[in-house]
This record gives sequence, C-alpha cells and structure tokens, in this order.
Amino acid sequence: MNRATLILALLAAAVFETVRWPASPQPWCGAFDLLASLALAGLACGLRRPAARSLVVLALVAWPVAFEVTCRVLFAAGVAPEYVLLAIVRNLMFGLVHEPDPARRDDGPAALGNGLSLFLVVASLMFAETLHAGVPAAGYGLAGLWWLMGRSWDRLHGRFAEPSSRAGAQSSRKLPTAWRWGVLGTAVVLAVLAGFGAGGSKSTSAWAGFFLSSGGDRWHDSFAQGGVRDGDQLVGATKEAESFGPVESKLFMTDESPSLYDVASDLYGEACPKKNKEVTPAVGLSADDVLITEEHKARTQQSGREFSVVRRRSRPAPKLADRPSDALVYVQGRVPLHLRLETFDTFDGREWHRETEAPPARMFAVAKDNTPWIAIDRSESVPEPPVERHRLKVVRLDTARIPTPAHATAVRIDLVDRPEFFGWSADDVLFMPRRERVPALQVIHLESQAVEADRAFSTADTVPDGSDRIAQVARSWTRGVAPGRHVAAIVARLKADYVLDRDYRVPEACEDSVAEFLFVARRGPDYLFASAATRLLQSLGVPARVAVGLYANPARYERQGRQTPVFRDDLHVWTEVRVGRNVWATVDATPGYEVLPPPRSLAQRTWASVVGAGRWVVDRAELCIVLAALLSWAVAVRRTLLDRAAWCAWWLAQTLLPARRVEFTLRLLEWRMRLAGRPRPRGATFRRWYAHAALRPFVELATRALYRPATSEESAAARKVCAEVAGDWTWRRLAEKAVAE
Amino acid sequence: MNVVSAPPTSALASLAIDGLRAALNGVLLGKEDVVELVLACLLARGHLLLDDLPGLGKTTLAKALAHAVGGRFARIQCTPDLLPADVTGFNMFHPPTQSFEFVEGPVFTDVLLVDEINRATPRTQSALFEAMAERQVTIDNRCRTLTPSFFVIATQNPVESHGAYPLPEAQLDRFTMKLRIGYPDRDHELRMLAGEAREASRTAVLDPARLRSVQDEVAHVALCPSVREYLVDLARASRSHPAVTLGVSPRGLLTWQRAAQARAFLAGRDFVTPDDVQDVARPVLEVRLAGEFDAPLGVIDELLASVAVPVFPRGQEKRR
Repeated sequence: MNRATLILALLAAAVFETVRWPASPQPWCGAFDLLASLALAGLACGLRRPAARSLVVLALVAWPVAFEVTCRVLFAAGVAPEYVLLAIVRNLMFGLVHEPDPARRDDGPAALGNGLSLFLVVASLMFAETLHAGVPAAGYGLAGLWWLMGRSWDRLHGRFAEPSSRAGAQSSRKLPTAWRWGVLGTAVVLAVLAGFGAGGSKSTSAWAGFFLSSGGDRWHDSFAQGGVRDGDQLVGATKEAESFGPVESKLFMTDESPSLYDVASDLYGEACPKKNKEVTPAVGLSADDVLITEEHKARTQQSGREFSVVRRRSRPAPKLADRPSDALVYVQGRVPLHLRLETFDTFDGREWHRETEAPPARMFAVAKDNTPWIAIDRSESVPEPPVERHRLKVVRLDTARIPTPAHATAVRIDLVDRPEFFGWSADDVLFMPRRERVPALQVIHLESQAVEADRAFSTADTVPDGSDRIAQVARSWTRGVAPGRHVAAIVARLKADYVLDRDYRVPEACEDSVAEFLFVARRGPDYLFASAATRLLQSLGVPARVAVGLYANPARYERQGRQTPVFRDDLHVWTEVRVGRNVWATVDATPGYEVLPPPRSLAQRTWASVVGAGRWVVDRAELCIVLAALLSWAVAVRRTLLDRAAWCAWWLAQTLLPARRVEFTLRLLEWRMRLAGRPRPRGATFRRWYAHAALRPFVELATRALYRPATSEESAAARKVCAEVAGDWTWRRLAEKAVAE
Repeated sequence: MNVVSAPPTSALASLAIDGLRAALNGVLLGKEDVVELVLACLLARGHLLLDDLPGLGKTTLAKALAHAVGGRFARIQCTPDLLPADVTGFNMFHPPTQSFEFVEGPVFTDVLLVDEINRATPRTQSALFEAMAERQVTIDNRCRTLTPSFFVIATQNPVESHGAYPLPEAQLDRFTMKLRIGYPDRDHELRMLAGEAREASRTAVLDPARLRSVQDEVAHVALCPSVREYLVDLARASRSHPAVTLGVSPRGLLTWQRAAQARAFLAGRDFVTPDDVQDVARPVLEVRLAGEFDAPLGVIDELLASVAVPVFPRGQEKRR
C-alpha cells in the first residue's frame, strides 16, 4: 500500500510539473526545485526518529519559498505565487506520504498525504492551460482507482475487525493531539479565507497587500497572474478584460473615442455617409454586450434621510495606477516574425520607390472554427507550408496599415465579419480603409504561410545585362551554386563578410549607396543590407523588393505573457523575393536577424535533431572517439571504480569519526555486496548473510558494536579487523565467495 | 583472531546448562536444535507444547527434562473423562477431624508432564489456564500458590482427531513454544538401535533454586532499542498480514522477548541480536498465529522476510 501511495504522490507531482513547466521563466529552475525537493523527501523517508523527520519535513515545506526568493533576488526569475503555494503542498505531500510504520499507512499523516496528492492534482488542473497535464492526471486517476480497489479488496477479504475489537481499532485510528490541533487550525484559516472570498471584492480589497498576487496598487508582484485587485497580467490585460490593456473583449468596443463600433448603430441602424465628410465604418453591438457599469443607475429623490453630525474622516479611495507600456505591438505566436508595413521595388541609387502596382487581392468572409474570418485571395494558393496563426495586439500604431507577414492568407478582428473593413494597398499591404489608424488595444488575428525563399528563381526575360559592378559581384558570389540556392548564397555572403553598424551613414555626396556599402564601407545599418541584398538578387533576375516594417525579436519573448513585444527599436528593413506568381517570401541578410522557418512536424523535428546530433559528432570525431572509449572503459570497470570510491569514502569517514568505524565498515561491506549482485535481503541478519569463516571476526565485532549497549570498540584489534575487511573483501572477492548461508 | 571477549554467563550457570544439554541430547539423538529450543523455553520461564506424531520421543524428552531440572515431578495422562479436580486437587471431608482437607492435584509440582493434552475435555484443559499463566490455582474461593519453578510440558498428537479436543487459542497463548521433534536421520536411528540412546536418567542436573537463579540471570540479558523495535515491528506485521486472523498478542510479544533473551544466554551472550529473535520466531509464532493457512511456517518466514532487520544505528539511542 505504501508503494501505491508513493506512486500516487509522484503522479500528482508530475501533473503539477506539467502545469508549472510552461509558466517557469527558466526550465532549470523548476527542474532544480523538483530534484532538491525529491532529495529532501528521500532524506525524510530514510529517517525513523520523529523529531529528525519532522525537521526535514519542515525544511521540505520551507524550501519552495526559499528557492523562489533566491531565484528572484539572484536571477530575477520567478513564478507566480500560486505555483509556490502548490509546490509547498507538493513537498508537504512528499514529507507525509511515506509512513515507515506499516501499521499506520492507512491513517494519520500518510492518509493526509494522500488527500494532499488529490488536492494537488485538482488545483494544478485549475491552472492548466494546455491539455498536456491530462496525461499524468489520467495516470493518477487510474492509479487512484487501483489503490481504492486494493483497499476495498483488503476489507472484503475478511479483514473486518470483530465487534469486540472494533472499539480498539477505532481508537488506534485517532489522530495524535498535535495533528488534531493542526487540522483544526487549518480549517479555521480556510474558513476565514472562504469568508473573505464570499464577501466579494470589497472584502478582499480591504486586505490588499496581504493576499498573494495583488498588484496594480502600492504593492504588486511582477510574477503574479491575477488575484486581489489587479495583477500585472491583469493590467496588461492578458488574462482578463476588466482592466486596461490589449485584449479581445467587447469592453473596448464601447469607447467614446472614434471606434469601429457604435452602440447607437444597433438602436438606430447604420449612419448614412455624409457628403464631404470622412465616415468611419462601425459594427452594432447587441444590448447584452453593453457594459453594466454604463447602465443608468437608480437614484432616490425623496426626503427623509438622516443627517449625522458624528462622522469619521473618510479614507481616500485608492487610485489604480496605470502600468504603461512602450510596446507598439504585441505578437503571440511563433517568432521571429517580419511584419511588413511598406514595400518598394525600384532603387535609384539613393532612394527606393514603388513603381509597379501589386495585383489587387480579393477579400471575402469565410467561417473558420465557427468564427468569421476575412480571407485574402491573391489568385494563387500555396500548398506548403501549412497555415499558422498569429495574434497581434496593437497598442499604438499611427497608421491604418496592418502589420502582416509576407504571405498573409486571412485576417480576423472579433465581430468584424465584413470584408469592406479591410483593403489591399498597391504596395501589397493590408490596411483598414477610411481610417487614420488601426484601432488601439484591439486584437488582430492573422493567418499566414512561412514560405521559404528557396523557391525563388530567376526569370530569363528580366535578367539585366550585368555590366555593372553589382551584377558582377552577384554572379561571382553565386558561381557554381544551384539556381535554387542563389538567395541563400547572397544572404550568407552578406552576413559573413559585412558588419551591422547602426550608426554608419552613407556620405551625402554618394550617388550609389549600395555600391558604397558593398565595395567601400562594408558596414552599415539594416536598410543597407536589405538594399544590397535586393539589388544583388535583382541583378541576378530574381524578383525582389525591399520591405519596411516591424521585427518581432525572439530575444524579447516574455514567457510569462507568452508574447513578444515589438518596440520602436524593432523597426526593420529587409528583402522579399517572389517565389510564385504573386507569392512573396521573406529574406533577411542583416546579421543577427533570422527568418521564421516553416513549422515542422514532429517527425521532421526528430529527424533534424538526429541529423544535428550526427553532425555534432562528426565535427568532433576525435573527441567523441576518446569520450566513447573512456565511457566504454568506465562502464566495463564501473563496479571496480565504485568499489574504490566507496573505499575512499570509508577511509575518510572512519578517519574523521573513529567511533563509528565498525558501522562504516559494515556499510562498505553492504555496498560491495550490492555491487557483487548479492544485496542482503531486508529480512536477513548480517550474521547469517556474511557467514564466511574469514569474515567471522568482523561479524562478531559488528554484532557487539551494534547490538550490545554501551559498547565502544576502539581497540587496535578492532581497527585491524575493519582495515582487513575494507582492504581485502572487494566486490569481486565477495562475488566469488559464497558468503551466505 | 579473537576480538570478542569471553561469554558473560557465570561459570555455574554454564555448567548447569551444559549438564542439561548432555542429559537431553543423550536421550534424544540428533536433535540438538530441538534441545536448544527446549532449554530456551525452560530458561524463559515458559511452558512447552510438543506436537508430533506418536513414537518420536515427546514423552521421553519431557521425562528427561523433568528429571534433569530436579524437584518434584508429576504426570497427567489426559483422557476424556479427566476432571479439573483431577488436575488441580480438591477438598475432601476428613471424618476424624470433621473438617475438609485439601488434597493437592498434580499441578502442585515443579515439572508437570501433561501427556496428550488434546484428549482432555476443554473444561479440564481450562483448569490449567490459571496455573500456567499465574502459577496459582483457585479452589473453593481459596487461592493456592504453585512453586516458582512450575513448568508444564504438554504433548499432543496432531493426526488422531477422533476423541480429541483442539486447544483453544487462549490456551495456546499460555505456551511459550510449540516444537516438533521430527524423525531422526538414518545415522542416528542406527545409533539408537545400537543402544547408544540412554534411558532418561533419574539424576537431577539442577535443583529448583539453581534453575530459578539461572532464569533470573536470563531475564537480565540486554536488548538494545533497535532490537526491541524489531520485535514490535514483527508483531505488528503479524497482525496486518492478510493471511493471519490472529496475530501476536502483547503477552505473546513479552514471551517472544524472553525466549530471545534465553536464546542469547544459551549462545553465551549478554545481549540479544536479531538472530536470536529470528531463531525463536518459528516455535514462538507457530503456537500463536491463527488464520487461513495450511503451512504456518511459510507465513512466519514471510513475516521475517518482510520486516527489515535493524543493522545500522538510527540516531544516537543505539549508543546509550
């Protein structure tokens, strides 16, 4: 039964770790916390003295808090307080679930540990945001069912106590006094907390600062996910819409400022466009979507109320502080991501222009996953790679253009299901017509395909004569390279041979800034890299253009909010190449910038990791051979190595603590028997197990040392016997000699 | 190399024990291990139940032991018509003095051999309860004390069930050990036929006073806390074993401890080791465990294998 409860506890811990893992800022934090907790729990299991065991259990309970504080102070990495509390519950469960006394395994602390494991699973699943935790939770459920069946089977198997002895059995099941007081205290605390919870927000707000996860006020926890008042996540509105922030909610659809939506539209119908005046398209909201807070409040105008002259000074209501953000846009989804806002295709040596007009895209409403989307049809479908989704949360963007990936296929804004809200500009950019800017704090869903630039090819009729230096350079860089790899060759050469220097400026007198960059300066900001790559590719006949937009940098990824903020600094210029009739792919030649690869399947990822590991091994063949040889040797002689290591530990221990020399020698002997594959069974006495005649003196010595009260074996003979056993009876000799009776 | 000091038993006690060994091994050839357990039972101030087939030397061993320890010896041959008064004694009217005089029964002795105890009725068997547990009998509201060295050796035949009354668990718990003698091996049977086995000698090796002093010495054999914990763990494991419906009682636990002390004393030690506990586990538990099993020894071996033997000191109490 004890084994079953241990399995249940481990499964409950697995559920918790599966939930906590994505929320941990650093995965190693969670792993170290778990390993240290397991080590402490193992120590507690090995102790039989209640006092020592209680101390270790207390340390186990205190460990998550200490570790969290250390992580926050030293590494500025932490997790939400809810996870710290659950880690405390987990460790308490670990400390209680092992009961050394077989007779008490069904009641007392072990039973409490079982209850905690169930609580841990249920509470963890409340925080689960993915379905991954369902796997260990299902295992826990099955194991729990098996455990319950085992218990019931025991009882059905004629184990009911006789009526006369039942009173005794009941008295033995009573909790100790300390435990009873502990349970009572816990119940009182939980009742008080439940009372505060039932008292509503006013009740809990009065205790702001005492409850965990508080924030947005004088006291807040930057790692909080929510709680009393408004945590950082709430201010950021990544979880709830009641506070200010970019989140998909109807809350922002009733803004007084110019908006997409208008409550009046529902009541009076859509407004007719006025002549000579810009009209903002709007969507009507149903009456249910109007915030309750904006409803008319009843007021009494009758007399008869009292006027008191005994009054106390009213406390000023706490003001919620804004938590401003400098981000322009938040991106949820895979990064790095290039979000274009403008494109240019012609270069005159100093400036990029747009000369050709992109073919218009047809836009129409479609339903995907029971939600309305606006499909962007450019009369050419790309079968691969698969479509993926990103969420853009626009905080402030002073343009009506919507930042989109290179090959966007659909767009969605909540409740906006009419294609006339969107337009396709002449330079191939999605925008919102008849608006000055994209509405702030609105979530835009985008579907796109991360098309690879390998498909870019040179069209024969557009190949220039190649008489200029740039074309010669492009040809020299791509000489001997397959046509499909021209783009990669140009990008690799630029990234390898040129330096990103954001402060460099091309001389004003320069007539061809790209030539200046390529042949003279060999350094420059990102727009020079993009211009050079575009010019080089164009000179090879590859249709290419320059794109200006935002770069969602993976280095800025916020694990807590699972989003990537894009700041002003992330304005970026890159190249796009045409890979189909009307399909463009992102190419970035600037060092330090990466292009989002297509999403890969599990098999592709596995294969890539295998290939990567293989390449790593091949690149370091000599080192790997040496390491493999060393490892093989170590595996072959592992028992001898462990034997010698154990002897060193024995020598150190018996030198430092000579009074325990016999005990240490016996431990060494036991360890060597395990190495020899003959571990002493738990029910066998060592006198019977080490019955070899040559070991008899040591066995007699150990018998007296361990079982005879007030015995101190400090004689020279005892030292000699112990030294002989430690020196002569190696694991190999123990394996060869039949020592057991 | 001899690191261990000399055994702590006194010379007189050692001589007495050697004499007892010699006397019993002389009449029961090739059963040294059984003799050791019989001696352990005697020194632990317990009572012995010999359970085996007819003709294996139960009565011979009992008689030899009774004579060797000296003192008064009595024997009861149990039959279904045996009455409690035949065991404990009774008050008989004495006409010359016009009063009742007490006629002592066979229990008023130092060594009592109860032969084929399972042939007596439960009523008569119960007459031995008080005598065995408290070394006294109560007759007509008067309590009469038995000798301090009162020792019962009972025999029973396990195969003949007709006309037999199995001993109740309460009665069995009064016995310290249940021993089986078993058939001797071929060599010892040859030696027996050659006349090497002696008749039970009438010469006493001990007297009740010396036996009592040796028993006191045995009671002072030390147990360290870890061995005591081991005993308790074993007893509790016997109660929670799925096949056992009646585990070791606290009285049985005390008896087990005394038997282990006696075993250590016989081995020449003044302290008990887990080996001593395990050595006496089978005879001590076999008389006590009840449950749904055909082979109690298998269950006892399971119990011994399931509880960890204390080897390494836990904390500092080991050294106190």
